[in-house]
Parts: sequence; structure tokens; C-alpha cells
Amino acid sequence: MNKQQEPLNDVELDQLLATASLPPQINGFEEKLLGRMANVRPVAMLRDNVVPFVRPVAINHKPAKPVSRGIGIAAALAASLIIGILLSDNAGVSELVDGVTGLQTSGQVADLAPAGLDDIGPVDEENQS
Amino acid sequence: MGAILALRAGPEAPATRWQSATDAALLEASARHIEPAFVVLIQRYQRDVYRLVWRISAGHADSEDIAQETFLRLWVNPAQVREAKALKGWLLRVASNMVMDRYRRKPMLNIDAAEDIADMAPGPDGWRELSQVSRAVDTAIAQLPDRQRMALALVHFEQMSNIAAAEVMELSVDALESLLARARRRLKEILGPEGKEMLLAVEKAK
Repeated sequence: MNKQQEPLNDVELDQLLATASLPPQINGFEEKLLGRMANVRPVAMLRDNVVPFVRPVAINHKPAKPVSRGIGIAAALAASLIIGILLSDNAGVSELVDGVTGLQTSGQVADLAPAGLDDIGPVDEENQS
Repeated sequence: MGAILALRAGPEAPATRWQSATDAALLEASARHIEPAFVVLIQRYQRDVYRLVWRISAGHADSEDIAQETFLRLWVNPAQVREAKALKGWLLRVASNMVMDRYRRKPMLNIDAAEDIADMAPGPDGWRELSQVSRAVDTAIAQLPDRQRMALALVHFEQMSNIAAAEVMELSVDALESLLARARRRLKEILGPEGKEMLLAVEKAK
């Protein structure tokens, strides 16, 4: 193998790398950078301008005392009893429905009574298909 | 005029007050936004940062801009550098990441990216001029993959130890050595038989 065609060894490669170009001199790097720095605010400076955020004191929700909890339950029970008594009458239901729907159903409530054997009328067999 | 010059050379002038300060003191002062202290840091490391950026960006025209951007990042928050002894490594890491980020978005216009080593070989007279060899070597380096070029730049051109270069590249030492070995092998392939002739030109030039 011709010596010229042999691959480069490490020493030879280093000799060639030593010939690589060097970066050109930079002029005014510092001045240009200082100009750019003037437009940038350091983090520390930004911190100086920040008004500290005061965390609001959390409202302490104390659990209700057992006595007051009992009063609430008793009131709810009493209210449900009263409503139950009121609604036990048909009129009460009708009034409640009228109040909610705005319809005059009070007179028809009586018809809502459950049907029994008395209500069975004669069947006209001729009209049956 | 004389008064202005006297003011400039006053106690706040970097040359007199901060020039001999340690990196730790300069970083600490920079964190308190004392500009003259930061100027000394710039003076200390601008050449290292610029040289690395220039090398890994293959001499791109944006090299100076990227080097400045690196220092701006430090100026914005010097406390990012936890230990002063890690400052140079931090600057080189930020600079090299910035090069990679910038050219990942837009293709890199290398020194002589369009040229091929074979195309650069001077006619029948061979490699006479050392400048021709330099350009051919630059082109070969520019053709390396990014990470290989960076490893070569840090170890060969910046004379960093493998350990320090691995820290800058955030790699294990083994991974860095592997990159370096591949870079050198690839360079030998790119330079090919022309490499021997280039060496003759280098010998003659001595």
C-alpha cells in the first residue's frame, strides 16, 4: 500500500487540526454587550419592584357544636311534619300544584280519587271492535 | 474632558477595583447588579465563549450575537451559577446549547458547507498554501455531526479535560470519549488520502 494512501494516524490528524483557522478578532464586543444589557433588567432588580403578596388569613370554619346541630335536625323534622299534615288533605296538594304550575287544578283534584268497582259503567258491546 | 476621563478611571473603573477580584466575588457583585464587576467577568470569558461558539457553529456570522446572548443570560440572573468554579463550564454549556437550539430551527450556514474537500484540492501542484490546508480542515470539522464537533471543540481546541468537557456536555466521560473517537475517525475519513498531501504542505511551511 502506497504510504500516501494510508489513512492518517492520530499524530498526523493532530498536526492537521493544528492548522484549523482561528476565529477572527471581535471588535467592540464589550460595548455592544453593555448596550444590550441596558435593555435587560436583572432578576434581582425585578424582585425589588415586586409588591409582596400577602396571603389572606384563612377563615376558620369551626365545626358546629352538637347542641346546635341537634336544633337544626329538630327544626327540619318539625317542618317536615307540618308539611306532611298540610299535604295530607287533597286540597293542600291541589293548592301546592296550583302554586307551582299556575293552573287551576283545585276543582279537579276530587276526580283524582282512586277508581273502584262503582265507577265501572255499562259497556256498549256494539262499539267494540 | 479631563474630568470625564478622571471619572472613568475612578474607583468604580473595573481595571482598578474589580480586576483582581475572584470569580465568586464578581458573581456576587453582579447579583447586586454592579455593572463594573460584570464587565470584568465579560473580559475574562468572552474569548472562550466566542471561540467555542465560532467553532461549533462553523464560523457562523451569528457567533458574536450568541456569545453576547450567553452573557446576557448570566446578567439577568447571576445566581443561576451556584459555584464560581463552575462558571466557565456554565457559560460554555449555555453557549453551546444556544448554538444547537438556533441551528435546529434554521439550517447552519457553515464556513464552507457547500465545498467538498476534493473540490478544494489545488491542481497538479498539490497543497502549497497553508491557508488552503486550513480551509480544508475547517470544512472537514464543519461536516462533523453537531455533538462530535462540540466534543472535539471542547477537548481539542479549548484544551479541556475529558471530565470537564463531559460536564459541559452533560454526558458521562465514556460517552464523551466515544464521541471524540467517532469524531476523529470521521475526520480521517473526510480528509482521506488528501490528508497526507496536506501534511506535506504543512511540513514545507514550517
